[in-house]
Amino acid sequence: MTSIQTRQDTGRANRPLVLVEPNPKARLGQSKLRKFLRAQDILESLGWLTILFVIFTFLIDGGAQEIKDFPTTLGAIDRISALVATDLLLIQTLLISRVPWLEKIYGHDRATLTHKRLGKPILYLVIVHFVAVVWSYSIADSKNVVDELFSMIATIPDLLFATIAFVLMILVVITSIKITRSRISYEAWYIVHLFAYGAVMLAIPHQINVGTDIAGKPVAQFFWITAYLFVGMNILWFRLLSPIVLSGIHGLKVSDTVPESTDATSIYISGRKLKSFQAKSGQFFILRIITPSQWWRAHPFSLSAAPKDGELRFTIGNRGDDTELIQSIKPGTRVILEGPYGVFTESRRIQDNVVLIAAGIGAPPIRALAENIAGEPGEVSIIYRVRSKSDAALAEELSEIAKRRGFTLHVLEGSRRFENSWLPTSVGADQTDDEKLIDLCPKIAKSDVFICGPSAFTRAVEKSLQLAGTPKHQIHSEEFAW
Amino acid sequence: MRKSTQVLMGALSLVSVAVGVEIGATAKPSGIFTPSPTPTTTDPTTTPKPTTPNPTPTSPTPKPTTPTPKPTPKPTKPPAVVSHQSNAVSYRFGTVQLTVTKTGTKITDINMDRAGATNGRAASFPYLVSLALQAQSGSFDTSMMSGATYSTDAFMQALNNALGKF
Repeated sequence: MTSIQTRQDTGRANRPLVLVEPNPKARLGQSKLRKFLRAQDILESLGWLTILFVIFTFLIDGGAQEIKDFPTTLGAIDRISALVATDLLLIQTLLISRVPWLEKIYGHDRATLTHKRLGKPILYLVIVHFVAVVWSYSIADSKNVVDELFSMIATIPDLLFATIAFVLMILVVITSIKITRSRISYEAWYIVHLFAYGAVMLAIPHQINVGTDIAGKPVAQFFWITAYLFVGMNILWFRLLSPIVLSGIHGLKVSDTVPESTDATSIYISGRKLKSFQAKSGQFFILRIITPSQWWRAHPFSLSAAPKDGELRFTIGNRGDDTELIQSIKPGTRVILEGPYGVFTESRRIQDNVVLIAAGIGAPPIRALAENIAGEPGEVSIIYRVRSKSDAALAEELSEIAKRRGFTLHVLEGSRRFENSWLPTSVGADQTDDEKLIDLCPKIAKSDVFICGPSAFTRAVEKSLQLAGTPKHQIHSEEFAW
Repeated sequence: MRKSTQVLMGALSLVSVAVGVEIGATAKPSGIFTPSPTPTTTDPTTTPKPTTPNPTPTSPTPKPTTPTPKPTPKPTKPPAVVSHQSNAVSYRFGTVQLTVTKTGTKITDINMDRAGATNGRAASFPYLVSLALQAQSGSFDTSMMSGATYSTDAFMQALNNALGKF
């Protein structure tokens, strides 16, 4: 069944709700979880092995034996910190290259979070490398450290590049730490973050020409060339070329925008053969609107309906400066989609029972999941937490889905009942959050739970789930780690 | 990572670090170059090397210009053995100073008096010595010497300095 409709009218009431049939053959059970955890372990082990490998090559070169006195100790520290930092830097870069195989196993949020967490340790390692190398050279030349630094930069051109790379790295980290990140605009952060690519490339010449660990060592050469090429190709293809090429092939265009509530707008994207994106309900795309002023800005948008062959629908919260922009996009405007991303999908489900919990603008992926999740009547519950009915984007659709599929829907409306509670005053104050949750969904401990909402809300629900006895692997949430 | 995988990776890490250190102990100071055998063609009658590192050009050998007949068909008397030490050449990674010994016109020995080089770069010197001995001159192809550009430059400078003193 296709869902292409002509839409002269943008009124919601005029649009019949066309639902994709769920796939009742979704494989469930613990073996699915084990397989998934094994894949994660393999990837993490591979990452760890690359670090182990560079340390190993350092050691078999007699790296440990070279330590005799203070300057040679500095020399060893300088080499090992550089090797580990470079390896981690490549892993870090790969983590945000949005390669599908990484995305599928980790999810966009976890990959991005790990990328973030690696930032500071890598910088510290590079600082150690920098200090150790300048210090040991200054001892060898019996000069003071500052003079030595300048003479190094002046006499070895590769070190000038390396020093620039070092400064760029510091800038990238400084603009990314919490204190500064909240004070600068997204654009400023983004542009400085692009320097990171420059830093990685500027650092390469000195690794080959000045360093002693790559040049002339066939195994190390092979390892590093492979690593650089692998990461570089992945970035180039998945972050840059493939979105452009695919969007061109599919002829992606905005077909319509529809206000859903006081704080949400839907945007419809049409194109050819959209099935080949293999998007799943619960996933999101990164969307670029190709207009002269907007093409370089990327927006992460969640699918708010199961993907259909001729059309994708996204619903976004009206927050920030994008609101008016999105509502004013003219139908026919070209777009580029990167994705789909995220593992907030039925592929994570291992139990028969499912509870979907949405708060506010977390509704779109929950709405899409509700359309997609296979379940007998009574197996699926939906909890939709809203401040007021006028904020309840997609509430009508959710209730329609619940009615047709025999799912239970609880719309919990009102302001928070007390500090740290994720429930509204309307549920009363006689029960704790987890008691109320068990009340609403008696089988919660044996259910897969998908939560989407603001992170404070998600944390609070997770805590209740823990108390209610839902195992960690049955709790699924995804944040826009953006 | 699951516990079992963590334990496995931890054990593997410990083993490989231990093995790495063990192999490192038996390995040559650096793996930059496959250390070629040190020249065995050295004349046994080489002069004792100057032990004091004197940075100024030395002119110690008493017989500077013995008439050495170039196309001697049969050298009846042993050719003169002359040594000259180069100036100390300071460069990025240390200091290089060497002594060249010539038996007649043949370079028979190059001794590294000072082979300063950080991070295992010193491993390049034996290799350079044997190349110089093969080439019998101060200029030879060093294109295969990757990873030791600066050490190689310093070596060549010192070698030509010493050769210039003959």
